[in-house]
Amino acid sequence: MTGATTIQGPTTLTCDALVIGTGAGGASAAATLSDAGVDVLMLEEGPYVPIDQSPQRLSETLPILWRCGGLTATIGGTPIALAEGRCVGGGTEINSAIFQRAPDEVVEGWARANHLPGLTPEALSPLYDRAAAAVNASLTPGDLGPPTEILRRAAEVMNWKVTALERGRRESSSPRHQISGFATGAKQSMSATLIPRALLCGARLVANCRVDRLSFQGRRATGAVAAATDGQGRRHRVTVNASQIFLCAGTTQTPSILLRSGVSKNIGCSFQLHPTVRVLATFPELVNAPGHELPLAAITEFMPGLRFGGSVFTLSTFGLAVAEDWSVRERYLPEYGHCAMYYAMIRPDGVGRVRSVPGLAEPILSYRLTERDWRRLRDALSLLARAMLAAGATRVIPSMRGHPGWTDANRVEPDLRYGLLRDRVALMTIHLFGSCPMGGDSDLFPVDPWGHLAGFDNIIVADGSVLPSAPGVNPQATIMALAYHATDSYLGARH
Amino acid sequence: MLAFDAIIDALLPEWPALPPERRASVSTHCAHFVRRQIALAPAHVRFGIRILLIAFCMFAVLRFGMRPLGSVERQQRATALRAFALEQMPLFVALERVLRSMTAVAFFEHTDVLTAIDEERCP
Repeated sequence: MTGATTIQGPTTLTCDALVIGTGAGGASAAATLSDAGVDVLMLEEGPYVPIDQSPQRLSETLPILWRCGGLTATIGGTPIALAEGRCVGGGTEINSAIFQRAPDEVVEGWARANHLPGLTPEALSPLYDRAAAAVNASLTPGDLGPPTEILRRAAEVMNWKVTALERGRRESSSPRHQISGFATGAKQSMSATLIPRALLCGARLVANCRVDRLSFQGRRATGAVAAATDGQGRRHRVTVNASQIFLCAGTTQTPSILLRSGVSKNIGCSFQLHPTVRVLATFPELVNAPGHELPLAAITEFMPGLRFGGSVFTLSTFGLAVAEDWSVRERYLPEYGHCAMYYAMIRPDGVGRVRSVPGLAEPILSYRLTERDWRRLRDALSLLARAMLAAGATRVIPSMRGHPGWTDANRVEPDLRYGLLRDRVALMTIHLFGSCPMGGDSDLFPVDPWGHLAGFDNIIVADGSVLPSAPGVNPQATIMALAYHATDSYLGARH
Repeated sequence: MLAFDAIIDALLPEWPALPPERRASVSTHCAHFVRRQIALAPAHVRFGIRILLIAFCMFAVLRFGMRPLGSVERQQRATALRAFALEQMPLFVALERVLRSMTAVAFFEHTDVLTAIDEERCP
């Protein structure tokens, strides 16, 4: 890739703007800055994998593109398994590229709760449009296959609202990717869109380079100290001198870098996520067909508090679902073609914490659901199970260990009358945010409405960590919009 | 066979049926993959899995005596694992799920397994 820098020994690099992290926020910031002629250096902890060489199978992507091989979970209360990207492009390389704007009422709620009078749906709208254009967010034409049809049928029977999902995609006739259902090269992740654009405009990129800490002189950050790993696995110290820092390392790593750098006020203590509960549904007809691994619709009747959608369903993800409760579900393996997986995702009140522990490479993530969240999850599971049975499922198996599944919708409510079994339910999430939330009061919030880190003159945070709370939808579009907002205001002030 | 490999071997799904020599090579592949995945996991997860493995080995000694785990019949190992999981200690259950899910991913993406499934569908 043009602009990709290889580190072969101890190195000192100098730039105008150092962008740490290349996910949705970092890539949006880097492309905007380099478009404007700023000398940009991007540092990415993970590897660069060219889009045409992107691995096809989950077992190949997990060790390369996912943080900790995908084996991360929160602690405290019921563990919640979580997924994060760790590669050039960040989470946009491993997600389904669903593009959704935060609902207006959520944005208005953020403005009220976090003292952000300038944050309005109208103000965000052009920024969302820009993000949508960058990834060519669009509806997938043609037959979307049985998994999508099932969701539509469930919504129709229950008289609920269903919405087609836009994805960052472009037309391609190549074979479809086994994991995401995209044609090879069709997914418009950051490594396919904004990162090449930034590099074309002169930005530099160092992959496999982990930032240890930021360096400071008074209220100003002077750069960062990092360690780059070369092709032979040797580590080299990298010192970066920069006049402006854009911290875009993601919801868990941004607070972790700040904590390692000695910045702790309000950092990492309001970590949030979208708790998600899943069901495995079996149908009499064949519901899996190559190219239709991901349902491209969502039931939005209960938005923003609750959303139903479908999960990527391949043989290996089916194996993952079966592994949640092997003794009960192993018998369904041969029925793979008749199974599909759907989820209910809630917008919770629970808050967690990101802690950096000396000696540990990864932060410790703690999270606890509130009693209200547990009730919402229980209600969500009940609604989803009944909807799937109404849509023709012969059995709906919740992600609760030891549960044989429901075949009769009338059994769901009585079964859940005492709530979810907290030591048996398997929760997961792929959406993380809010660990350094933006707000109008620097005593309460670590980041101001323009992304500036409180107490410092030249650090802007632009990633999922600045979201004030759960958006109730895939956060990529909002992260990109807020990164544009922060970068535009920086460029405006600079000029 | 190392104790770890013997445990992963016991976690392999029964479906699809594989000839013994193919199953052995799939088992080796899965153990390699799971070992590599655990090495990537956060320190507290790695630590937990190590404790889990030690606990299971102690459980296996009580059940099978001082024999190497690899010399115990696969079915017996699988039954012992199920019995161990039925102890229902939430932490162990969660960690066992990590091992099993990674084994399942490696298993269901192995070429021999995919071929066996295709053969089963279109004999």
